[in-house]
Amino acid sequence: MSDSLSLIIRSADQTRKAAVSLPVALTVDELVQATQQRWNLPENTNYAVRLERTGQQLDSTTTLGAVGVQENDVLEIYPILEAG
Amino acid sequence: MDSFVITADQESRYDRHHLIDWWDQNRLKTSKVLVAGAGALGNEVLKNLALLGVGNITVIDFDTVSITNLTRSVLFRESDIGLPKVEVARQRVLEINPEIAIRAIHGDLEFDFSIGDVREHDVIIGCLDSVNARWAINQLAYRAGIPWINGGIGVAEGEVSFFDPSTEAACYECSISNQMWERRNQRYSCQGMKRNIPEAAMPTTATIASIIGAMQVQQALLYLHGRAGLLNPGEKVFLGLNPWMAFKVQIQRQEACIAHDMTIEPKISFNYDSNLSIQEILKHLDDSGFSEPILWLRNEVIGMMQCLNPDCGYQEQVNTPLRQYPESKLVCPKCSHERDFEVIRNLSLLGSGANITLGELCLPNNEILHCQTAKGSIAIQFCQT
Repeated sequence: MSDSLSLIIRSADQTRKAAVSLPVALTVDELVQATQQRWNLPENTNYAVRLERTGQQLDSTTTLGAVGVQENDVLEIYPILEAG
Repeated sequence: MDSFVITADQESRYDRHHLIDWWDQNRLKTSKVLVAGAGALGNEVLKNLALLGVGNITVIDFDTVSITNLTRSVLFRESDIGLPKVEVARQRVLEINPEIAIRAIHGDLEFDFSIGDVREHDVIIGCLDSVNARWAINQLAYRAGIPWINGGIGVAEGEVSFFDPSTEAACYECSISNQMWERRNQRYSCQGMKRNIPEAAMPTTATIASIIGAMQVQQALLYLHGRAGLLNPGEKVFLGLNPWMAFKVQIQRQEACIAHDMTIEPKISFNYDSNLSIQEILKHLDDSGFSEPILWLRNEVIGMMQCLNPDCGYQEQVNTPLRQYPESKLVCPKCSHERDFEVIRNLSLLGSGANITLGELCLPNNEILHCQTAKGSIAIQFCQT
């Protein structure tokens, strides 16, 4: 099995999109942090990742390989909304 | 020959509801809904519950009405500024529908509301504004075994999620990432005391608040009627209005998440007497066959504080929940030196804190606590009449 996965990452509002190759050992948390930095997303907002193929919100502490992300999957990053 | 009389039907408040084939107005009339938070979402939720005729509502919030609330809070007026949100909301809800009962609690749901109180409701609607408050209501809901509906809003985006302790689905705590925990933990010192960090004002609007509040109430309505259709337990719907987007996610259950194992069915009740010592309670349990009892507090309490300056040595009996005690008050009021303090997490017959009384433990009315015994874990309710 390859050590990396070719994926599409996009923001939920579809204003950002990138084709990336990521290590399978990368955790979802690390992916979120890297994406936040790369796309200059607000630091005071928490984000989650949705695997478009299954509709699952991916467990943040688990690696991409362990949460079942596959080659050419689309991952959507979206904010956790805190205001009430 | 048959004879009959045709009379003009008297219109009633709920006539339009009666036209819906699955609707049970009586079910709504007897329902008990807890609304946690009376901000923008809380206002919308309360308004809708009143219009629907939900018969018994409890609302809890510690805040007062400010001028910034008036852009999103349908129940508040300029003349209400400075008044407790829950009290104003209660009055306006009764103006909308005087046939319902609403109880307003001006307090902190984490410390002023008990598991026993939560258990008296059918469903909780969370209208909160922080990860910490959502974590706290999730704990209350899972201990009480009551489902809850979470709502959150941004500028033009909103989310609604549903969690049900009676299922194997994920809970809110399962979805808390390390980043969220880190941000939440910044609000507390490493010892667990509250830091005086002002809440950041978050941008929101009335339009998204009304949509998300309506969706939360719709989920409650379906749940109370035993119907599915919007959200299954462990699901979240995310909605965006600019640009339009809507999708559902299934939150993954974390097997290691401790919130799932918290549900407690009270086994033993004590009449709450603030002068009753823990020693007497534990002794009673021991004598009743529940030997070696260890009573676990839901919120750790600071007992004695002592100045570390040997020339001062000032002692103070604090008896306040640790997470409610401001870090800024850690210094000695006499000499400004640092103070050491004792944290009470659990109480046993052999422990030093067993002489403390129920009143000193800051338990809210009808609190239910876990008690470890040689026979296994039991739950004890402290009933106040």
